[in-house]
Amino acid sequence: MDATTNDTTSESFDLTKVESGQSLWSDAWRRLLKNKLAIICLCLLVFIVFLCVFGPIFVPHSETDQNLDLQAAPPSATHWMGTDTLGRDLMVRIFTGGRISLAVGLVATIVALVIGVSYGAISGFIGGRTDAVMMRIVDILYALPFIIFVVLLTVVLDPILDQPWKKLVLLFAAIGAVEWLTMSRIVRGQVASLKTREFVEAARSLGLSNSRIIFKHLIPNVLGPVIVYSTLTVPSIMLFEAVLSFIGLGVQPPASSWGVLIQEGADNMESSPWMLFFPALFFSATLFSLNFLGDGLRDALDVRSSKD
Amino acid sequence: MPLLEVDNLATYFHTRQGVVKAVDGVSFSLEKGQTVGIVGESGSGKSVTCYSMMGLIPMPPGKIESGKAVFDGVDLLSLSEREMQSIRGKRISMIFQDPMTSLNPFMRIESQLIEPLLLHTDTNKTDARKKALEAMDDVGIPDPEKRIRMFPHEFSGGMRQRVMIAMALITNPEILIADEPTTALDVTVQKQILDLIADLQARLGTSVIFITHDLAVISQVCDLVNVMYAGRIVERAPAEELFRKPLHAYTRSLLKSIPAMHRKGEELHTIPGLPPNPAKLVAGCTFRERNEIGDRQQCFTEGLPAFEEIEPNHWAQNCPGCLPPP
Repeated sequence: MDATTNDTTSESFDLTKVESGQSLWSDAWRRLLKNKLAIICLCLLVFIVFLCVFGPIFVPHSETDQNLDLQAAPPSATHWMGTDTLGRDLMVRIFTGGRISLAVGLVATIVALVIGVSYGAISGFIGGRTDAVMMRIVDILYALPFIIFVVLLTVVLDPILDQPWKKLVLLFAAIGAVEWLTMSRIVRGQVASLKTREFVEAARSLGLSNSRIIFKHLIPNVLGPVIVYSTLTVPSIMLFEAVLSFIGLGVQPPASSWGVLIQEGADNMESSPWMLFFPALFFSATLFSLNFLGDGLRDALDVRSSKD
Repeated sequence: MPLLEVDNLATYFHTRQGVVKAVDGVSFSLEKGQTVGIVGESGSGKSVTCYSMMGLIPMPPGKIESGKAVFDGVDLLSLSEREMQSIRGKRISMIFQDPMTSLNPFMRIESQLIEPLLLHTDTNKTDARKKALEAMDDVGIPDPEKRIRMFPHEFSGGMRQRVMIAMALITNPEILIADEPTTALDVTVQKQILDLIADLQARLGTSVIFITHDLAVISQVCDLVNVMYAGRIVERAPAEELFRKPLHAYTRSLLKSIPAMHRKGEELHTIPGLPPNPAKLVAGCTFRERNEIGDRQQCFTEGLPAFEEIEPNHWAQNCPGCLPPP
């Protein structure tokens, strides 16, 4: 008996753990490690997240501290990335803004992922009339203007939006509720073509229930495109957040996000370019990393195209 | 009492082109440990017969119009989907034509093999794994410890079919339905797979329904053969008897078409025309238009020829134009 088999037999017999946590993923991880670019991007991403989460502790300014002597000052020894027009340290604002941007991107993507994948998979698998109705609902939701949808949500929910964090939750929910549409279309198409494959018939002939076939046999097969699409969704959600913050529905001052900071930076681009440069640097580094990581993940997860 | 008794099964597909009578009044039975073959051209309803019994017909457009499939005292066709799920893969298993596509490309062989065990029995993961290793060994896959951790794309076609067989038999089902299991394999592998099925069948006492269009395969594995044409069984006989003395014109034409039956240089025999469109079946004997061996003029033009025991234990559709003159 070799080492790998020893490993699995000594594992706990928790079924779900072995199914999803072990077999496919450890293999994909091994393949991902061979992809240098993806790993560099992953490290960069982890570094940025680390900076955003723990960075503010090491900076001797807070995001609301104003230094009225140094308004819109260029980078210096005290303010490494300069200050904004109100004399606040830009670096700490980028870090705290990054927390919000990243959180919005991550949470809204997960919301979109869970809703979109389940909805699309069920629609594609059942097919026929149910599929048609479910997809027309998606079309209708597509047609709703997003901004109006969010404004309406804010108006309706205004009485309970007394805390800033509640506004953020609304932001997550609103973005997630819109972003799942494309995801569900992608998954639905994939599942509709996969369900005619013989292995689905074979799974049925083994007595598997529909939900087990959908969630255990079909969804792992569509994970490749889903993951690639998710890594593209995160940046678009972060941009959405910037738009919403700009029209006053998202992050409210004095809190900030990368979108807000870039917006402010763009306004002062000519007089103080660093105010645009640093937030944009963080933002684009994150987006680039996500894209390359998505590429790497696609290659790693697609066992059929693997070279080993 | 037979293990499985199919009685007057009819499955129609309601399509835009009309009602397709894919299976139209099929009856046969299967004894314990027996191998029953169903042979016929593409579209003759072989697979639909078995899919109907397993409840795997997509409905709509499919509909089981009539009939019974009594398995161990229970009519399979009257069971709910949930009840069927507890029979499929546990008491009746299937193997499919194309082993290249019938395994999930994203799951390890191991997880696919143990899935029926975890689903249908109280086996825990370690025991299931042990059983899977034994099953891999039984179907002749070398180095199962290592192979079981692999993905389907790392296996050859023959090996995948072995995995499929292991998967189908791992729960010790009473019936194995083999839907053209050797069609996609090359001839040397075909033989191995057939031997393997026969070997496992003898050991486990499984009954097998063997669907194929390959008469050579039928002659090797089956005890009893049903010849299907246009959704009906036209002839039934023990395998040796069928090859020794085929009665129905369709069976005789099929046997005559086997290339090995011809001398070198001689033109191969073919059956003229195409199988009838099951959406537009003519009244009377369905083989009439293609009947060259018998006497077409005497074929029934209306009313269905009765399926009767022409000779002891040798049944056929009693159509004067299709049966050989006495």
